Amino acid sequence: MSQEGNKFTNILREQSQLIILILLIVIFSITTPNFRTTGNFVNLLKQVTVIGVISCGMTLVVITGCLDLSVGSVFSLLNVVSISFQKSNNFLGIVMPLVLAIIIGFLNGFVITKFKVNSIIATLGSLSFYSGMALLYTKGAIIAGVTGTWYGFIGRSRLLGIPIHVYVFFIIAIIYQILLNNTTLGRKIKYVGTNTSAAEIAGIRSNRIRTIAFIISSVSVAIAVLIYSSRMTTGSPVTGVGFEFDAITAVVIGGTSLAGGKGSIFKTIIGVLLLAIIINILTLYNIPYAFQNIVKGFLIIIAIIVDIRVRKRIEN
Amino acid sequence: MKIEKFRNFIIEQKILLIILAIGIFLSVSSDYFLTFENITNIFQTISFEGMIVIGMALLIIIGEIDLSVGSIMAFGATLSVMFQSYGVFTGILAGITGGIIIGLMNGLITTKLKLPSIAVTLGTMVFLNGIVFALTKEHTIKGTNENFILISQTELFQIPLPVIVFIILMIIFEIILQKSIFGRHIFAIGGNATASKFFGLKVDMVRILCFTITGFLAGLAGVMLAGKLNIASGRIGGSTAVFVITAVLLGGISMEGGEGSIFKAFQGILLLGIINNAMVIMKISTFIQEMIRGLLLILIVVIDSINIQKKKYL
Repeated sequence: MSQEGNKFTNILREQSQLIILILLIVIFSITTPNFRTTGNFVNLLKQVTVIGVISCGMTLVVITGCLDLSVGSVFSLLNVVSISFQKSNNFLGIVMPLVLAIIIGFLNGFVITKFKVNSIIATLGSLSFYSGMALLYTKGAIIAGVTGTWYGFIGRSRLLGIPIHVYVFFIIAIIYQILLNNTTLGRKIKYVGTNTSAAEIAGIRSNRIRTIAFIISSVSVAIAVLIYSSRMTTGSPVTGVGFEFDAITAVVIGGTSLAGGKGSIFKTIIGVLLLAIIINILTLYNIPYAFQNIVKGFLIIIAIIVDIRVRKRIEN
Repeated sequence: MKIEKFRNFIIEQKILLIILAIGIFLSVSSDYFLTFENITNIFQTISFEGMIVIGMALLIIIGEIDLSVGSIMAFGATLSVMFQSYGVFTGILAGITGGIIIGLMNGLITTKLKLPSIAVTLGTMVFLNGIVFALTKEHTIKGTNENFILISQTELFQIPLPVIVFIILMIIFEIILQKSIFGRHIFAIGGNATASKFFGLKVDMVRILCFTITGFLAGLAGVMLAGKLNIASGRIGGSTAVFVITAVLLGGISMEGGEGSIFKAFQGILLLGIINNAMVIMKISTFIQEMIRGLLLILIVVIDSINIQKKKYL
C-alpha cells in the first residue's frame, strides 16, 4: 500500500510540469472566457511552432551539457538569407538556410569541443558575430520576398482547420524524441551529458556527439526560419533577438536539467506550452509586453533552483 | 640568459606590446589618432564599461562570472534618471543602490543555493532587462534635472569626470586586490575553493562581496552613462557582457581563476578601446564592428583554453 503511495508521489514528481500545465489550462479556462475559445487555442499553437522547433534542437544541446546562445542571431541571419534568395528562386530560399545552418552548427561545435571552451561564452561570441552579419547582409533594412508562391505553403495553408506548420512542429518533435530515445546517437548524447570522461572510456567520441548536437540545433533554427519566413515572407536582421532566452526558458521549465544527461523532447514541448500559456494570459489581461521578460527571467531562475533541488534529492 | 629574460618579458607584457604596435601603426597612418582629443575620447568611451571590468576581473579571478552587468548598468541608469527629480545626489544614490542590491542578490542566490553563477546571472540578465523595460514603459526616458549631466560633463584639466573616476577606482581596487587580506582571499578561493574553506576562509562571504562590488560598479557605470545625455532606456547594455568579458580575458586573466590583476584587465579594455577607435577612424561599419567583437571573444577564449590545457599537461 505504502509502495503504491510512493509510486503515486513519484509520478507526481516526475510529471510535475505536465500537471502544472493541465492545472493552468483548467484554471484559466474557468477564469478567462477569452482563453477557452478554440480560436485562442489554435492561435496559441500557431505562436509556439517557431520557438518550439528551436527549443527541440536546444534540448539536445542541453542534454550534452552545453548551451547554444547563438540561436537567436542565427535565426535573424537565416531569415534574411532565406528571403533574399527566395526573391529569385524558391528552392534556393529553402536550401541556403539549411546549408548555412549545418556550417554554423559545425563551427560552434568545433570551437567548443576542439578547444574545450565554455559553450556559453563561445556562443555569446557567435551571437554577436552572426547578429552583426545579419545586419550587414541587409545593411540594417527589412527586406520583402515574393508572396503568392509555393514558398508560403507551410506557413499559410491549413489542414483540417489547423495550420500546416503546427503539424510540422509535432512531426519534428516526434522525430527528435525517437532519435533521442530509440537510437544509438540518442543514447550517446545522454551518456556524454551524464559523464563525459566515462563515455570517452567506453569508446564514445564525445566531441563528435556534441558537434552533432550543435548541428542539429542550428538545423532546427533553419527549419523554424522556414516556418517563419514562409508565413511572413519578409526578412529582418533583428527578428531573432531574444529567441535564445525563450528557447532556454522553455527547455529548463520543461524539466530538462542544465547539468546535462537528462531530459526529453516531450518535457520541452510541455515547457514551450507552459511558457506560451503564461505569456498568452499576460496578453489577454493587457499586461505590458515588458513584464513578459520579467516573468521569463523569474521562471529561468525558479526552474534552475528546482532542478538543483531535485538532483540533490536523487543523489541523497 | 639575457635572451631568456627578454623572451619572458615579451610573453609577460605581450598585451602592452600589442597596444604599442597598434598605436604606432595608427599614429603613422592617421593624423587624428595621436591627438589629445582622440586619446581622451578613447578613455572616455572605455571608462563606463571599464568600471565594470574591474568587478568582472575580481569575479573571474575568484572563479565566477556575471552576465547580467549590462542589465544592471541599464537599471542603474534608469533609476538615476527617474530619481534625479529629488536632486542630483538622490539620483546618483538610487542608481548605485539599485546596482548593489542586484549584485548582492546575484551573490546570495549563487552561493546560498549553490548554483552556477553563469546560469543565475543569465536569469538575472533577462529578468532585470524586463524590469528596465517596464520602468521606462519601453521608451527612452529623459531626465528632468539639468544639473545631472554635470557628473559626466565636468572636466578636470580637460579630462572628463568618468575617466578620472575610472582611473581612481582602478587604483583603489588594485591596491585592495594586491595588498589587503580580502584580496589575498580572492586569490586563494580562485586558486582552490575547497582548500580555502578547509583553512577557515569565509568563501561564500568573499564571493558575495565580489558580486556586490560588481553590482555597485555596474550601477555606477549606469549612472555615469545616463549623465552623458541624461537619458536611459532598456536598450542600454546589450553588448556590455561580451565587451567586458572579452576585455578581462584579453588582458590575460584566465577563466581558470586564481590569477590576475586589475592592471591586466585595464590593458585588455584599453586594447579593445583602441581597436574600436581604429575601426571608427577607418570608417568600418558598425555591423562589421559587432562581428569583429564577437570573433574576438571566441578567439580569446580559445587561446585562454589552449593555455589552460598546456598548463595541465606540464
